Amino acid sequence: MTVAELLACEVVDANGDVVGEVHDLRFERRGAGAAAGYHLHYLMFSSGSVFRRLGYGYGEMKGPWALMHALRWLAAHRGWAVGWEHVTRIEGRRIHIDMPVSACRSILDLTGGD
Amino acid sequence: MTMPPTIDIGRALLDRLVTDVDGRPLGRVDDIELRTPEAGGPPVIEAILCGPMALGPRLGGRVGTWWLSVGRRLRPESNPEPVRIPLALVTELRPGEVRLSISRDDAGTLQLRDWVLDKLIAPLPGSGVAT
Repeated sequence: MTVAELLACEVVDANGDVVGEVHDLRFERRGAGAAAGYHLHYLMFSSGSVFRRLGYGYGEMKGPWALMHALRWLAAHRGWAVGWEHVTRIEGRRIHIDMPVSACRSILDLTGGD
Repeated sequence: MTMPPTIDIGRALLDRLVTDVDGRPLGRVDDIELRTPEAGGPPVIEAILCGPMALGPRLGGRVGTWWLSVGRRLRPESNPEPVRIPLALVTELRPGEVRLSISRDDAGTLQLRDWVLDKLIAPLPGSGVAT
């Protein structure tokens, strides 16, 4: 499997609704020494492709003030992160998760705006 | 070695410049290979993939197919694969840059460039490339 096979996949929540597209993946280092590796921790997804094109939600967007705050609001309300353990199956370009999107973390909460 | 505790792939790895141990550029991160542990658990980053054979599938659609096709035609192997750099060779993630612990001559990412240089550019009169 490659990252390209996961990026841009549609995310289907527990209600059967398509709630967004994967635009980034967060990996976490686990283990120590030679056994250390980066494990997939979160899928980050959002509704609308503009989100991933602009890359907001990371706090890297610096002004103009109004645009920055608008994008941060969107990151908080229209971008989510779901743990890999909540992925139930992958069918083609669709990733099914076992929770409703309303229960997912916001991307801004995950990244802390950094 | 400066490797962070977490990596956001799209933000910190994909499309970043890959440099060798001396800081010389040798390509870009076009895709990432993942391994699913046999014992279960989440996928693990295995290697960085570089070159048109990695970028084509990621682009998708007609552009991706065309890019892949061009890559295949320009590669000397009958069944070319993306250039694969194990993550263990990555020593540092800098802003916009992925630093390796090996020389670019050992990475194999310049095969396509070298092949094009030898086969297509060098034969042209006045190319300035010694054949």
